Amino acid sequence: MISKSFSFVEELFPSQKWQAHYEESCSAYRKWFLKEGELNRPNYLQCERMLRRHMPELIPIWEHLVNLAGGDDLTARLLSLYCPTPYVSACSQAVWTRYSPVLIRNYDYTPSRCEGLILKSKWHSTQVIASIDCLWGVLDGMNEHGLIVSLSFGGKNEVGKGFGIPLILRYILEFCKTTQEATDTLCRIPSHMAYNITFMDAQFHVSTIEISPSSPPEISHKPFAVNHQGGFSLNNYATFSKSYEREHTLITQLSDPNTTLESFITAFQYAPLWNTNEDPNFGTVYTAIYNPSAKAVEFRWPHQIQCTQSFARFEPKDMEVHY
Amino acid sequence: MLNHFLRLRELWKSNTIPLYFVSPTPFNLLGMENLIGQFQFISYIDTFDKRHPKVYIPPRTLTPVFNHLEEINYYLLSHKRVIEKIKRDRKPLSSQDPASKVLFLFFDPTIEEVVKDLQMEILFPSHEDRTKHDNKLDITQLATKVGVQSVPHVIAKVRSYRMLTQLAKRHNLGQSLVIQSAYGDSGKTTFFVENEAQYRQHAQDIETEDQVKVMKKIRCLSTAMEACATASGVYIGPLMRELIGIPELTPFKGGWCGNDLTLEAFSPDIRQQARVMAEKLGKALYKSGYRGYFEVDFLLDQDSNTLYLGEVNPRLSGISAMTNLSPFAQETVPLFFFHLMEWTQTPIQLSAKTFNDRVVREGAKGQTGQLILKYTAPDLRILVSAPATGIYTLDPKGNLILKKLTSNRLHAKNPDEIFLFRIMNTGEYVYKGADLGIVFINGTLLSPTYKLTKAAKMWITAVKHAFVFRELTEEETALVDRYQTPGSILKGD
Repeated sequence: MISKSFSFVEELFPSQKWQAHYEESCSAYRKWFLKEGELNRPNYLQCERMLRRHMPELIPIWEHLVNLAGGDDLTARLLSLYCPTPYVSACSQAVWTRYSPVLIRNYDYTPSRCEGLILKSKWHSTQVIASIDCLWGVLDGMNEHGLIVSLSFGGKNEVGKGFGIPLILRYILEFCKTTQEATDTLCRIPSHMAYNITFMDAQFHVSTIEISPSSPPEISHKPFAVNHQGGFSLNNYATFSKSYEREHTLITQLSDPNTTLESFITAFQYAPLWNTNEDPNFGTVYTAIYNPSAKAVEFRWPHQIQCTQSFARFEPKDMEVHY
Repeated sequence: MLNHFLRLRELWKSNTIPLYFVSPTPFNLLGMENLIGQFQFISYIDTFDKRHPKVYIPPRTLTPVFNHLEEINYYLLSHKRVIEKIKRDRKPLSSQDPASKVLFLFFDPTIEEVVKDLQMEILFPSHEDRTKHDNKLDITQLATKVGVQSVPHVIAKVRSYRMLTQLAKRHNLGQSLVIQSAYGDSGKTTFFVENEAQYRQHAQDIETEDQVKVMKKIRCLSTAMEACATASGVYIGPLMRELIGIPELTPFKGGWCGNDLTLEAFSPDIRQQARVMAEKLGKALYKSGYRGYFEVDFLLDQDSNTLYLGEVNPRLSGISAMTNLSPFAQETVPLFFFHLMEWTQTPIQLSAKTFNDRVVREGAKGQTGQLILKYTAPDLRILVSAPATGIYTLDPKGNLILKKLTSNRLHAKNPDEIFLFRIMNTGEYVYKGADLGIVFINGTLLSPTYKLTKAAKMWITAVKHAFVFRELTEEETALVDRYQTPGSILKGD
């Protein structure tokens, strides 16, 4: 059995709590950053230039975080998330659109590498609750305007020049209010790998965008995403992550008149959506259910463990879960 | 004239605009930090063990492997700490003040872009202009046009051995030929051809070139000189002998491995010849758009005692430290000052003729030399002990004794002292041709027949003993397979 701890933390502006989190995670991140050799990562000047070109509003907070993290060259480059070391995850996500729409997603990754931090912040003028990746990026999250973002890996091996998707999602939650704004922003910022991103806003506008470094974004109103893009193309990754099987389950569930919200959410807790790969190092790490009307999020784990948080009531806590 | 020198020294001592030499080590402009205000080194290799307040080495996590010198300079200038430092150094100045300045041994368009981004100015002609003047064939033609003689040669397209022999015959170049391409390392793009078999070995390299320079092979001695082309004329440095291919120092046949600066080395007539040739070249370079510092290799034909142009390197060079730290430069001014003046539009009051007259007379006075010590064995090893940079003497048994840790070459004053500038350090992998260190000597290194003197041999043995190596473990060998061997970081031509 694997155990994993999750922390729900409120720190409106990054300070000691973020710093403590950085210190705990930094050695693993530095190792990751240097995995392909230092010169294969862009230098400080390029990182700064690219941030300035694509997400200039993030520069002050980036500089602040870099200082909190000790201010060295490598940390600044790492935190810019420009052309980071390639990595893969899986994930399923879907939007339940009947009556009270919610976005449900399973985050599939290596549990020990998931940061396990759900942070409530207000770095700019908007409050954000998000599951953190890459120290300040976002795997899934919501802002006070009710905009919800969630990523799943696009299943392609391509790597291009662009930013790590968690930072682009962070940028969107910090500065966008609607699905339309989020979609426009996502489409103009280069991502270094392929992802399927789903947005939903307080007006329940949904869009799923397939982005990849080699082709223009594919915008659709599909209310779900798994780990392949376009039509059927069998690749190792989609097979490994049972992407088509999960897609089929999502479509069946969403179109079955007998499915209720609760039974739909429950489906995320069982195979094939809940990913229990034979490899103990890879599987579903959590289920998150975002509700844009209530501006609340519920996290669920096996064995009936759950935790609900909202902008109105955010309770800092640490939890230990077992898989 | 003395007054002039004093004024020039004061002028540069009180400089307030930050000026950086960005390079793997401070070697080429060693000592300039003591003469020029706000002059600093941004280096990659910690040659002074962090003891030098004017050397900045940005902290690094790993040891990246670079393929070119330009990559190191690019790495340095793109580093967060370096950028912050450059901005910090700028703070006391107002926006009206001139831009911060930067010098390199080598740079490329990527670096030019970064420098522009950092709002600095490179004190050299653009990379494009430099490349143009680095073309060995063009320079030969330019020199011929202004009356500077090269070794008998012809510049042509060579398609076959037959064509080569016909060319040689038509131009009286003899049986033994030296073939050179437009660009590249003189060691790697110079081919010696006496017969068809030798030609075949290099045929592909020769025939892919649009044109090559086919020269008569002469029995020659190598010499070098630096000069500076300015609006007020061409200022020269002293002519020195080059140490080439000495097996104790370098594994490369024909590889540069040191210099020797003494008055006895050349007759006044040869010195005057070199001066005139350098002046003509400098004027021609200036007219075609190259301003400032350059180096010239001359070949002294032992049979005819004629001085020929070897090649021109439009940049700082491996003899810059010798030129600018020579006893003559200490009494007068370093040649490098003229480069700074040209590039900062500071009027030069000193006539080039007066200065050059004096250089020809006294430029080589005192006895100084440098030895470039490379790792000569073929197998990769790890350094387990390396001497720190400083002044050393010898004990009666011929072992190196540390006298003083210092970064100042001029602290070694006597013939029984050397200044050892260490490059490779303990724990580093050394490969064939790696630069271990540079030995600055107060004495003559070469006999009149260009053989190492007894003193030079003694120092080489002692310094070599001070570098201790061990073999690689199996694990280290496996690790190394991923690495490539970088070239010399010092001269690179």
